[in-house]
Amino acid sequence: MMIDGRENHDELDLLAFRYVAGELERAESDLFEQRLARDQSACEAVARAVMLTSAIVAGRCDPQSAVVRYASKRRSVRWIAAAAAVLLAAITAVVMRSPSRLGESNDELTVAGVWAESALAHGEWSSEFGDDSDDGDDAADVALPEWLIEAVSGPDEANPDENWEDS
Amino acid sequence: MTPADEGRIDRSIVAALYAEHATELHAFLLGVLRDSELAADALQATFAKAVELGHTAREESRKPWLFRVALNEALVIRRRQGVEDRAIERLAWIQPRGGEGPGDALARRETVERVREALAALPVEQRRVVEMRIYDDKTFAVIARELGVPLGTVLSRMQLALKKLRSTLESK
Repeated sequence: MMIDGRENHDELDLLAFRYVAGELERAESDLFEQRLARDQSACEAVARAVMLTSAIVAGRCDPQSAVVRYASKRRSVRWIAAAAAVLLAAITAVVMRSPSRLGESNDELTVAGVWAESALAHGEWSSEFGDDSDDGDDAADVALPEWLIEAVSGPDEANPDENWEDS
Repeated sequence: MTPADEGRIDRSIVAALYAEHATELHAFLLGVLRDSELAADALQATFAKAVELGHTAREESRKPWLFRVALNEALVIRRRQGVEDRAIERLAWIQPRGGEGPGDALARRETVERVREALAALPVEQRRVVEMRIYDDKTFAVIARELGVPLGTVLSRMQLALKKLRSTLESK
């Protein structure tokens, strides 16, 4: 490699880097410094080598950039968490709306549904809840059968077996 | 203006020269002296000379004149300090710069980010050489031995990498 000749910019940059890194032999280094005294492009190549090396070192240990990368990672995690929450809510909504799931999971409501069907079949709807055409009826006056109240209240309030026997 | 000031370069011109060239000059001095404090001393001495003798330089050649003065100051300091006898093969003396103004820090951060991106975009064999030389502070000869390739190949890869990385400094 030429130390004091007419090499191109790329060769000069490598030469300057080797000088800055202390990789030139003593004689080469002295020759290059003589060149620095009269070659402005060589001086600028040395400055460039230092600035580039410094930027590369800074890029590796720059805490602010690390913070930016960490914040970006946290944003990604937040998006994933939000997407998972929305997905979970959607699945829950679908399951809750499913009739078969209702039947499996909510005995009280199933009992109420059965009662409503049987009451309708036996004319109890009109006698106990009144008729839609009856303007005088108030919701507060509705008399629910005891077994139904106990059924939807759950097993804590009474022995379910007894309730079923009573009905 | 005192008689001593007659013929001297206007201080505002020196201030403008400092604003324009101080960063590059400091990097140059750091490359010659491999010591941040000594480089700062040399930079100060250079601009003291600029105040004193700057009028002797033609306006269009002030930058090269500053670099010549800086080199002379660096060589004087090095002889005085005996710096040239130190083991200076390592690059550990290059540290990210501190004490900058907010504008300088922002510009530098942008440069650092550009360099990081350019480094990441290098072909893996070139990036490996750059990282081993600068991060691991290994000589090119050691890198060649560890990679099992000729020294010329390692230098060629470094040259290609420097060519690509140089553009990140030029685009500021």
